Amino acid sequence: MHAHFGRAPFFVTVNVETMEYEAIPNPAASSTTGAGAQAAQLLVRNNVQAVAAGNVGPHATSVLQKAGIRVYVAREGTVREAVEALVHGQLEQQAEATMTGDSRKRRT
Amino acid sequence: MIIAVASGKGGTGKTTVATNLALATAGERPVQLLDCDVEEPNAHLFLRPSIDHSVVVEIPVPRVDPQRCTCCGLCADVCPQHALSVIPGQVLVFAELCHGCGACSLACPEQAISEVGRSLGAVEAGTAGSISFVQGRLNVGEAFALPVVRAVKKMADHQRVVIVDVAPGTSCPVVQALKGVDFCLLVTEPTPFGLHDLTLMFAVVQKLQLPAAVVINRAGPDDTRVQAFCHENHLQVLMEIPEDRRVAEGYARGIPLVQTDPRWAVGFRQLFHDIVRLAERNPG
Amino acid sequence: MKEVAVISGKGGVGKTSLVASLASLAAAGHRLVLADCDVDAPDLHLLLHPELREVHEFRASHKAFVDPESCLQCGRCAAYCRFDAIHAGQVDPLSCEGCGVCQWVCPVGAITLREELSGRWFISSTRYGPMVHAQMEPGEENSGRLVTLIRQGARKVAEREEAGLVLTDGPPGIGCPVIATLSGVDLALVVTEPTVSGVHDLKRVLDLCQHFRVPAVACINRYDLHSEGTDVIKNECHSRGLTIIGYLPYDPTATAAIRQGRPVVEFPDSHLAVAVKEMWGRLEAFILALSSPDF
Repeated sequence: MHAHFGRAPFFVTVNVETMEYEAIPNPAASSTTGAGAQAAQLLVRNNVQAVAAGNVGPHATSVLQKAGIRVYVAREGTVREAVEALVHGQLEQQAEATMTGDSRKRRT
Repeated sequence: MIIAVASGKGGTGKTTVATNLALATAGERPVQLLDCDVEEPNAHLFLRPSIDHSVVVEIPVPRVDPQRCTCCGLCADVCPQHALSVIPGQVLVFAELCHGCGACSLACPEQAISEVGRSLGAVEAGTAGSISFVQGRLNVGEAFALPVVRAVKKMADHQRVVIVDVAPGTSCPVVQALKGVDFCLLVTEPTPFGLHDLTLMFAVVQKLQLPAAVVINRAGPDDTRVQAFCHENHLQVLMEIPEDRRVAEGYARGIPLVQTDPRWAVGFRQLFHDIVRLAERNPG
Repeated sequence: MKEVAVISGKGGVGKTSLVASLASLAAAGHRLVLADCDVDAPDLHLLLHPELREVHEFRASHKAFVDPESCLQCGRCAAYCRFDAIHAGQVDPLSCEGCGVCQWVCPVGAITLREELSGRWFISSTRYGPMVHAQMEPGEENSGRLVTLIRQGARKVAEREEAGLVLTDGPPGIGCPVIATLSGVDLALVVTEPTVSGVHDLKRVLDLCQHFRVPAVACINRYDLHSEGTDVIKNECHSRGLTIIGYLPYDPTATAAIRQGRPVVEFPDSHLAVAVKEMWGRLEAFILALSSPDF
């Protein structure tokens, strides 16, 4: 897991029912400014429902929250471990999201 | 005439030179001091001006009319600072990232973006005795200093000798402060740090084709590399301020050199005359 | 791994000299990576004499270019440019922000944006550990992103070398590079001095630390130069609940050490070296209290 959401080189989207996954490169990683918000838009466009990541900055959090995406804190371990922890309700939610329901998620 | 006082690194005595030059010259000519070191404006601590007016420096940032916006995403695509994010049904504006270029409002096919002012800092003006005083002050936590520097520069009174206290370093706000000045005084100290940063600053001055000269602060007898560099590059050393605990203590207390010893008043007046002579000989 | 950034509101208060000495002391007991984020006046290398291992180009800025063949001199670009950077088909590269508005409004497509070399960043080795540092092109802007690159580089090297500490020489001021230096660090060591400017700038930089919720400790350099100023700093720190971990004396050895290109702790008999060593003991305790298992 990358420590900084916006600067992560890529994201992995996972369908937690089938465990199918896909890697999406993050073009925002090398942005001068606004990397977090751009990365968040990318995930919004990919219809992600929950995010597990290291540190998610204020801009990214704002975009993800407004889009109804829940943000979970997963600073260590592999993608698989983070997804499993998320499915088993073991990840701490970073900030209160307004939607419930679960089928896909992603991480860096 | 506009004289910039600059240094490659902070703490070399740039503000000391700028304020003493202003105080010494003010006896002969009308003087204005512009403090363009907007992140840390310190000249006021030595000149103790009374500030009589203050203007907020704003840049235009986008405001999206949700009635008109179709969330097409074009504004986010054109924004060079990535200050706009488009998600279904909504555009989010991160105003603190915006540099106010206006690309989004130009690009919007629905004319849904208008612009509103956002404060970056302030320009404060007043007087210190006969010296006209202007300083810029960047808001704490604010990253974009350029518009504040520009706003201070706009206050230049061409009827006076204008002395510009420039931020340390060679970055964008420094170049902005140096644009259009007639002469650049480079303040350094005789250490490897001072020499290294003088070298960088000299490159900027050359790029801008400004006539320049050097003041060496904390001068001691045992390091001659700065002098050698100046000699090789035809930079005149116009003044040396010795390494002296009394000078350091006076500075610590905010007492200008020219008030500690009348010989400094003579020295800084001579410095001004030397600058005028060099600027006239090598117009930028 | 813990990141400690040494910052100062004001330049010239002895920040870089102190970082070199702390590096020397820290390297005796820990694996260490150094980062020089003072991109506008990168001086740490003058004391640590790094050997370059890797050189990377840094391209961040865009500048507008006008094709004189197709330019109609219509003046639309100048009318729309908010940065006063283009006139009669001539671009002033020092004012151009690379925003692309001119390209957008040009009726004949005569303007393009090109990426420019902004600077270079380096991974080097020093006797105290790897060091990541950079050099901007003269007059280049945008050091905030370069700071981020340097910090990422330093963290990567630290992970590879299993280093427990990244020690960062931060830039002065309170602007973009400082914010980029501070964001997400574990501890800031704020260096100040009891001069009127030092006190003034200390307040602004402490406001910044509070704004970004960065834990901070302070040290006062040349504390004996102006006792009233030192008292003001003490009160300021006390009122903010900030610990002062070091009182460093005015000592000509500081300048002598810089002239020789060596950290002052290599002059162990000097008053300053003794005070810096004591301070490192306190700083080390603070870092250990940050509860990192790998430090």
